Amino acid sequence: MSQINRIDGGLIDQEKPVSFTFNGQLLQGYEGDTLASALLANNKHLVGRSFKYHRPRGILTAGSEEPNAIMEVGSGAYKEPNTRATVTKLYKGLYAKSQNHRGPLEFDFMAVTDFFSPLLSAGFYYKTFMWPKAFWEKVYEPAIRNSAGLGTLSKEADPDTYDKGFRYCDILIIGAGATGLSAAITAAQSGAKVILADEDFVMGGRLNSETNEIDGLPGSEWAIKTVAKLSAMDNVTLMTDTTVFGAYDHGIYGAIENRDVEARADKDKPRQVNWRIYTKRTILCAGATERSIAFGNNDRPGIMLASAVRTYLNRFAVSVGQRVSVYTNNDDGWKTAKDLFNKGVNVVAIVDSRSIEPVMRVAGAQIFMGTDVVGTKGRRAIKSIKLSNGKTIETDTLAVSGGWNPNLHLTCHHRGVPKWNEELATFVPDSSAPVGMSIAGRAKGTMVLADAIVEGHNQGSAVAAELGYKASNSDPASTPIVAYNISAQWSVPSGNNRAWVDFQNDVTAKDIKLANQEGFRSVEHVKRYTTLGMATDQGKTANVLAIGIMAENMEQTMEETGTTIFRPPYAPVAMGAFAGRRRGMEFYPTRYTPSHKWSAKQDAIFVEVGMWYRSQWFPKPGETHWRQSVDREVKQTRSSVGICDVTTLGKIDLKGIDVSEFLNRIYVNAFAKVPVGKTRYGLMLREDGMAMDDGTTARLSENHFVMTTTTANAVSVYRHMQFCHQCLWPDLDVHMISVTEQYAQYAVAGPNSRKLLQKIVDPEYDISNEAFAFMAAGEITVCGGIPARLFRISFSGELAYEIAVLTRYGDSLMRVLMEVGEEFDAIPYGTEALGVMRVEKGHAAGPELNGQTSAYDLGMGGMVSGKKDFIGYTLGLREDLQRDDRLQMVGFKPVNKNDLIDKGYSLAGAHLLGLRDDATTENDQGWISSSVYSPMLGCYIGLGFIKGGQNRKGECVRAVDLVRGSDVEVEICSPHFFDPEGERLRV
Amino acid sequence: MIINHPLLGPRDSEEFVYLGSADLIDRPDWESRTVADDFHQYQYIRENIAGDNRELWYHEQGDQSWLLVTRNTLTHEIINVELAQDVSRSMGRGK
Amino acid sequence: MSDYTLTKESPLNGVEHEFDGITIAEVIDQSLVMVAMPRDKVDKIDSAIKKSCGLSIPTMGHSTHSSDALITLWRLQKNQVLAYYPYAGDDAEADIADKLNAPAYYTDQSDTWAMIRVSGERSRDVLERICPLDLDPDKFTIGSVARTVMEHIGTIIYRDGDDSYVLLTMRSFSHSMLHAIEVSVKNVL
Repeated sequence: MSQINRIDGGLIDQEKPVSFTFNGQLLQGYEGDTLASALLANNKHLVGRSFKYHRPRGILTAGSEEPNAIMEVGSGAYKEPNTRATVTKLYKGLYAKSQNHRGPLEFDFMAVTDFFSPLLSAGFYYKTFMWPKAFWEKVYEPAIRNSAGLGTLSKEADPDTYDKGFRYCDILIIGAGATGLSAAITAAQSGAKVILADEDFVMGGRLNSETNEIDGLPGSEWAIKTVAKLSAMDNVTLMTDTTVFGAYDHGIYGAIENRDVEARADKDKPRQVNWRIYTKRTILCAGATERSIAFGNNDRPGIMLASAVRTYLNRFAVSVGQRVSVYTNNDDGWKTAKDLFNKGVNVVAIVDSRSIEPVMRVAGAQIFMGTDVVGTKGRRAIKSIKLSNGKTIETDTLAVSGGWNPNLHLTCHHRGVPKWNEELATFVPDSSAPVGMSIAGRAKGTMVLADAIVEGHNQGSAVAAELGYKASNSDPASTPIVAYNISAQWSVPSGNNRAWVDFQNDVTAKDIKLANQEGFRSVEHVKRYTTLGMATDQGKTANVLAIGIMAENMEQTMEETGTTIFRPPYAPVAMGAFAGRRRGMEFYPTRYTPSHKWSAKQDAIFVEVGMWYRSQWFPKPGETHWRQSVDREVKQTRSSVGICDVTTLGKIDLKGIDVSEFLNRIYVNAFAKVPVGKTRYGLMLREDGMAMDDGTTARLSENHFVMTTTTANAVSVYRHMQFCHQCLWPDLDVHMISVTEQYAQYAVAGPNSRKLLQKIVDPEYDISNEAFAFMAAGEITVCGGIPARLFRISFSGELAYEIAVLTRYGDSLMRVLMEVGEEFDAIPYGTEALGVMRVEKGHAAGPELNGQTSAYDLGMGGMVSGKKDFIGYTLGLREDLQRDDRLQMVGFKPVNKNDLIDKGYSLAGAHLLGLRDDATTENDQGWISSSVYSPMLGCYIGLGFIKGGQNRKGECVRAVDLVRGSDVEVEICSPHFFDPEGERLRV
Repeated sequence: MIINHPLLGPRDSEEFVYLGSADLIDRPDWESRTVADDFHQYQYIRENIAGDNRELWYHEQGDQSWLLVTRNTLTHEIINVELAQDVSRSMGRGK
Repeated sequence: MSDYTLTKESPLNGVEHEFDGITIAEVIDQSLVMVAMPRDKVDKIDSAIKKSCGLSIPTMGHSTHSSDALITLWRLQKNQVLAYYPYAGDDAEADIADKLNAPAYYTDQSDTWAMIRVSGERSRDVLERICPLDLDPDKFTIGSVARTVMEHIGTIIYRDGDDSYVLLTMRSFSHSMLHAIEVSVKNVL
């Protein structure tokens, strides 16, 4: 049984067979086939089961609107469910499986649900699974999920790659059918930069499916010729197999380029590319989609849209049946009969719901005017149809046309609302399309091909002229005028037989009626109650039909009934395509510090701080627990010397005659009179008086300062400073630039830090305690003339320096410091030891600068100047921010030093309660914000916030951690745990 | 979204960071007699405009200028884009 | 003489890869210095650099060259230009101040940025996967320069030839940027 439905001709290459697998069976199609056309060529009509009732379903359409023929394509991790067979280009080895059945497709064990259909009507979830409540999660939902659903996932990571890209054009033309090609030609001839995108892998649109004649050529040949002409033009980009899925603000369009075939041949190639297209103008030439008619049992395999029958016949050389009937309410349906007849296929009957004269005569076909199809027979394939006149006709295929709906989706992505057109019996775009978008051809409701071509031709030229290009003076292509007349026909009374409206969601005309009767009148409500128009096809074949039925039910006009809101994406887009390259380690870029290479060699453990990778600790051989490493790093730094890469701190270079004044306005403390060669600690507030960031700023010369910010706030502080300068005081002579990456900066901390540095600082620079006192800053040279900056600042509380060199020397300086430091047993320390030492010293950091703390709360009220305006001054003075019972930062240490030692976790996150209080929200007095094990104190310590803390030192409270289950009595104390007088840093 | 930068031409909004109302340029005088009210108004009180809204955007991934963007909150149409420093100066702000 | 010496290294160790129609190569031994122009001194700076080097302040998004063609100025901001020129010394700030001899503020940025040149006939095909700007050769003409964001990394792009672009990213990001370009090449070629 090989391609028994294949006939001669078509736009496929019958010299090039392509083998593929469907439900385990090896089949053959030809190059140029879709999966659907190849299946039909092999007489595979039954291709899936329906979502709810597991009804046998066949291929309904030949395009992206397909509700039924959705399959699992690919195997293993490559498997993708819900792939529309009608738009899947056939490639060698394609592996497809039908969905929604248990057991073989032909004998689905779940098909029994169809016999319970009276129980499964609209809203059945809501009605049936109400009680008992507890059953929902454990019983009902798993059962429903198991029996319904759309395909299954591989549950493995998607092995395919995806990419994205950016393209620009003057005019984007969406759809490369007769209209789009006509528009593209004139737009391109004018000189405008044009992108022509089409969701099909062959351009030409319906021309490839029909037998029109354009400029004396078959339509498909005219399309090939026109495409060739366009592709020869430098100002035209052709994008086939590219679905424009969304219209976004200001002329931006999203488009997915499908490269499945390429990716299957070479696994390294991206499977899809998500394009962002920037346009000045867009012409939507997306054509139209045919709809069905709701009659009894209209969902059997072998019942197909009339236009799809022509597509398979003319484009793919597949005769979908041997004895075909046509049921239509418009002229277009008759084309199917004519084309079939011309290809020698038997047309047994043409049924037209309109009581008019027959549109044509087709030899051998019985013609029934003013007649409807009311029922069908044949469980797995249609066998016969029953007409409203009582006649039964044996047939193996029924081609149905309920009329055409313009593909106006993109015109509504900015909340546009389509308007009803009675003559065309469909919705057409109104003037509410996105700015810059015009519409031509059948997408606009211009249903006659000859008119659509002229419209496209004229718009391409007119839009280009609007953009200042010279209008093209060529003539539009010519084609005979073929009329399109229609009389709306939504649903046919079908007795007890169900008439399907939404095939994908198994919604019937009766479901819609029930919803309406139950009070769901808004189209949006009906959609959600019945699931009409949901899932992968978004009701492309169903919605207008459903609206027609609703309008009849509620005795109102189509306009009054209205459409649901159209939102992107127009067609399904794989999640992977939105993620693009942003997966795993590539979710964000990675920033490496100057000492990274060296640190990696030392087996440093790295931690992500924003995008930065910082060394967290440096395990030595024999150390099996991070605490061993960190305790050692702290002790060694405090007893001799330790080195830490602090390059990640934000560094901002400020130059100009007004810099000191500027700093004075953004810091709470005075900066106007910082002497050259000195560093000052500064605290910055937000305008609302809350602490924003802190850091040190050094004055290197009269008009030159260099500021540091915290690593986390480097970007936002710089932004804030730009705001202050540009928006508040634009005439201050201040020039700032980030120099974070210009200098590699290392903290050299500990009692031996000076001795170590003296070995590399060039001898002409005196860094003795007298010459280079605490908070000194200066530009020096090291290692024989290499420029460096030295700051005597300390975060650890030790005698300490930060030394900065041009980053080009950063790696080398780290190695030299360690080499020089050997005689002092110098060690590198990471962010954990840094954190321990800062808590021991009571320095506030990220957990304390949490956006809710004022300078007073942090114990820095004394720093706040009362003599100047600065950001946060006025609002920081608000009474409530000065109250004594605010949450204030203090230190906490366990009354019993050994508490938590055996548990191995800190006080962090514990809440503070009175000694005899219950652990309730009402009794909550505050929390521990940072906590570490202090190797110097030999116990856990913490910084935290407690009501009125600064006046409660010495009092005992409980630190309760209900998550980890600890309850520790702690004493409120000064946050300066270690060397409270700061003697060590001044030696 | 695209912001038509007065110096650089149209740029994707991805390059920008939004701050809020352009009223933030008009920072009150700290020595005014009504300073508490002025700052309260400045910091917290905003009109929720359905229509043309003047707002501040920062061209972080570009020339680092603060821009005053007039944007229609109903249609997203951007009506005007100015350099905030020019607006600030025109409002009499300087040093 | 110090007992210790510091050795310098470029962000990407001079990486160079050739593909069919594309070359990726780190640009080394170039200096980049920010030249900030106080508002009231722009005219003075313009005439000073004309006198010293035959330069002029470029318009936004463009560049100018000194009469010996060695120094290129980029204008990415209203109140500053970047001087891009071949110089490998540690004192680019002083060096360019001396060369330009104009009343501006100078800040060395040479070590802030890693520079990667993407060149070859497929360069635009590769760049359109990461660069959100319109690189149409008639719009982003030779000498054009812009700062934008590519792969979440702030990036300066400078067109220095028909099919040649220099991408500058902050030094710590350079490996991520190189990777991004390499992925583009793999996906496109």
